[in-house]
Amino acid sequence: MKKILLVLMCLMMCGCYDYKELNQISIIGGIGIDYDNEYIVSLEIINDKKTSEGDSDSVKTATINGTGKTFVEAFNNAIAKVDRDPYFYQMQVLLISENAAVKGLNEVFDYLLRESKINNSFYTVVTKDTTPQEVFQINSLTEPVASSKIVKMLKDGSGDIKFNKNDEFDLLVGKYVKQGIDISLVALEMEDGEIAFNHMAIFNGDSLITFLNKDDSITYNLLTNKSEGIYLTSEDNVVALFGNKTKKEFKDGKIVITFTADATITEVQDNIDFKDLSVYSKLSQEFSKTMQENIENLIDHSRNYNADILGLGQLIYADKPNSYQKGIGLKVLVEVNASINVNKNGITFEVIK
Amino acid sequence: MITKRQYVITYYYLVRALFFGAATSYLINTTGNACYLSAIIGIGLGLGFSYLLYYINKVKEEKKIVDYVGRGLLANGIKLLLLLIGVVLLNNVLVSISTMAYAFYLVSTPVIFITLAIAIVIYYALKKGIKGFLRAIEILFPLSIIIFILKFSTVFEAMHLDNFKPWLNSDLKSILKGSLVFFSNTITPGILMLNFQKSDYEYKNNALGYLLGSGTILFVLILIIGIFGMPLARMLRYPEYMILKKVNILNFIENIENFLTIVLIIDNLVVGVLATFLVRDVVKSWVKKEKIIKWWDIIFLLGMCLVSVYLFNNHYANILRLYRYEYILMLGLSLSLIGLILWQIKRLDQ
Repeated sequence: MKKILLVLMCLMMCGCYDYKELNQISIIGGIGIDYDNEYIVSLEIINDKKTSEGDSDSVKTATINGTGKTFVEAFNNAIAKVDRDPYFYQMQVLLISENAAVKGLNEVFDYLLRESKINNSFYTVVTKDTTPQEVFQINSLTEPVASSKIVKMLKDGSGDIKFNKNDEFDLLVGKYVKQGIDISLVALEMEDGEIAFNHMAIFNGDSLITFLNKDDSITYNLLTNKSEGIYLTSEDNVVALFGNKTKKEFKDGKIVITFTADATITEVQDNIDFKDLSVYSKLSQEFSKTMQENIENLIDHSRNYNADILGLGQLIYADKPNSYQKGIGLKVLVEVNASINVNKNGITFEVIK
Repeated sequence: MITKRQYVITYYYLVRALFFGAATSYLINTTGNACYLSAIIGIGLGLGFSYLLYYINKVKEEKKIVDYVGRGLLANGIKLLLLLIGVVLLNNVLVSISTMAYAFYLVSTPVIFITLAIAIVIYYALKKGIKGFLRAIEILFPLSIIIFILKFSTVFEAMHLDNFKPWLNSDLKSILKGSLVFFSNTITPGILMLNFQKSDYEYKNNALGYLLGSGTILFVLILIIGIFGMPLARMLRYPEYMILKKVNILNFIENIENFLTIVLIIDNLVVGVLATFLVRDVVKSWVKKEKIIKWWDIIFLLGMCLVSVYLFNNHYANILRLYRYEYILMLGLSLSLIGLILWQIKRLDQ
């Protein structure tokens, strides 16, 4: 009996029933979704084969496209063209073209969240003035896989616009289904053949409304993200912000946004004396005012676009769920208090004249 | 024979087991943001129920519950309820592990193979006897605690206070229903503790095991709501598995959810093994034929595999019924059983 049991356990518990070797699977780095009268789904496949002898490190990618009337049909048509078993667990990014984002993302979110073979820890990016197919085909010397490059730039890069730690797909859907907040996604552009991030795509419900301008996008990132070293310009002076904190609360019938950050002087007019203590408070006041104006502009613009990207409605819903109405966050009075504390000047006392 | 430490550890495993699968999801769906309040009320009720279990164990002394109740109509009624509880719990174990494995890991493996693999593990534990099994889970206990601490400490950062708001946005009826769901799912596996022979432990051991198990469930509920927020947590089928995906140790170790799930599977296997032990003891008290007893475990486990696959896994409507009504069934069975046992104790005293 023990022998039979042992044989059965060897056969059934070794996990080899439906295993697949690495050469039997196609690792998908990213999925792209475009829309032009029908859905176009692109799969970025990471090719792990050696390209030539002694060139074992080179990884090339291939892009396979599928089309269909619905997203799922296009997705399945793309999968059908892959010669090996598609493996989505290493998927890093979902690229959505402007057209597809305008069409609406409900179907896409629903399918990808439900599908068990797709890991939900990838990031979502909207492509502006370019298509996902074009992005997947870029040739970069530093990072041959476009999906990895995008994620590395937005997670570890030094750009002004970055992923929020809560931008992973499942948490993004969590935000999308919440009351009183509209989603916003990082927008990707191509500048001289290289990937660049200068804007945020903002949504109303599941449809793309517009792209924020660069200043608004940076302000949005400062308000929602832990951003280190983002530059803030006021007249001829520039400071780098760090340790930023945002507090939003709903009290006495209005929303109060309090923003605080420390700042390091980066560039100043040549008549400034760093040994003079009043310089710091003067600069602090100047940049606090600039930041306050930036936040007010962002709120005005989001009101104009009818997209509650700062989740002002969510604050009202959290406090008074019974009196909450859709869009109330865009109508309520907002008070902004910004405080920038300029307290570092680098390693010199004087400006070169 | 069970030591005090083994008693506490076994109770800890039993209390947690059913919260892998339907119970967590149903509790969140029922109570919404106030699920942790339901859990706290449920813990209070559960501590009361644990006292009843302690009392029965104290009265029955060195005997197993099946032997203690003796013969007669009432005794047979008690045994039938014990049998039903064993069957319901084992079915829950087989369905929840196989459904989860089929959904996340072994998508192209026939479910019957997954279920049979679980049955083989349970059978192996039965063959080793209760003593060996208790020693094994005692050894696995530190792993369970380490993984819980690891999970809680690394995922804690991803929580947002805003996700809990609006605070307690549920009506009293939902909160009470949620506390019954919590109570039912934590106390029913505890019935399996009646089948142990030694009873030298005190109520504080009983309460400690229950509080440890239910406390970890409460923390997991808080993590789920804090990370996903209520609308998303309601949508997910295995939210307790999904939070494991967020475990990230110093940006160095990530994507270890499959390894961490082992703890949830061990919880369920403890219930599966003890439920099969209980059913065997009940059948032994009824059937005296050696041949049947010898083959009973295999026949029973195979039968349960077929039931769980062909009645539940292959019929989503039945899984949905299990999801919605199992807590009522378990609550009914557990309370009736305890009532009948207390009645029998009174009769035997006279």
